Amino acid sequence: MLQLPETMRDVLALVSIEGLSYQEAATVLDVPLGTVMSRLARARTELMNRLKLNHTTVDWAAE
Amino acid sequence: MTTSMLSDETLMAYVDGELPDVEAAAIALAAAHDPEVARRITLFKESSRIVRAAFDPDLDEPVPQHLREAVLALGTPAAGRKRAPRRSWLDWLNAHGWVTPRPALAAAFGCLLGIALGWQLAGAGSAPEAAPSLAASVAPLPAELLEVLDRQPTGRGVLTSLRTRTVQVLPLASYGDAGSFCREVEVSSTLLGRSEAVRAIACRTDGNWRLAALAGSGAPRARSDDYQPAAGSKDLAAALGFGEPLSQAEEARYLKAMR
Repeated sequence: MLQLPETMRDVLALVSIEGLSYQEAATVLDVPLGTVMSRLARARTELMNRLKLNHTTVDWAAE
Repeated sequence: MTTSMLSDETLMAYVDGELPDVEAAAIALAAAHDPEVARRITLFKESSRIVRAAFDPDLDEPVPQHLREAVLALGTPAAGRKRAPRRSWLDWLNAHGWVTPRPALAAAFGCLLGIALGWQLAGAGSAPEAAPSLAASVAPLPAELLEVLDRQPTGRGVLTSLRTRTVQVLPLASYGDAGSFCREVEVSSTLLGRSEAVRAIACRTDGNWRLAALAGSGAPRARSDDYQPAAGSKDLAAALGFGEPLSQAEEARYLKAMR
């Protein structure tokens, strides 16, 4: 987990641990809702890739 | 919507319960007909489980301080929450099956009355066939709660923080007799300005605190430094057959005796 960029870990902590909605996380982080979604999706796909769980659909668009 | 166009963000939002019902139904249909969509959904579900495990408090990876401060500074509730927050006192209680959703409070009080009735019948020598189980009460209580039960006088709440959440434990009243010492406390949890609370009665017997009853509490009380047994707590205490709460001096004697 610590290998992920801080912005990804932040959104992971708020949504996946604290249970905030995407909109609440966007408010806390002061970023658009779309940014929360893209960071969260990237964080989770990156996490799964690093765990070698055969996730092959990663196609990250620039934020 | 063609399944090949489904983005990771959309599938993740589906897994997290963030999509409107109509879109969620469409994703479910797509997953039923496209194994690739189903596989990607499974991966996002698995990622949630892995993240929670990685942030497990036992593994000492706390939420960063700047996030904690940002959440606490926000101070206003946001709309649209669909999932219950995790890693809170209330979650801990919920995990042990003690927290009852607000709409079911009537049933909860009915259960408590059932417990009291079961005890009375048992005391009269006729054990009821369907007495409510008290097995949950032997599960360990959080250390912070035990500290309050052991040391804090009624009306003297203790504030702790749990990741981005603030938890207050406030003793409301104490009850005692020759055989046991029981205390009613309110545990409230606040996140984003939204508070939830439960009231619990724990009794100390044989040197151990055990939960005797638990019920929803509505809005938490403000902290007060004055000794003031809570009048509103009598319904819970009465359900367990307790009489009047101990006076401040009587309570102090019990607390001193435990040290």
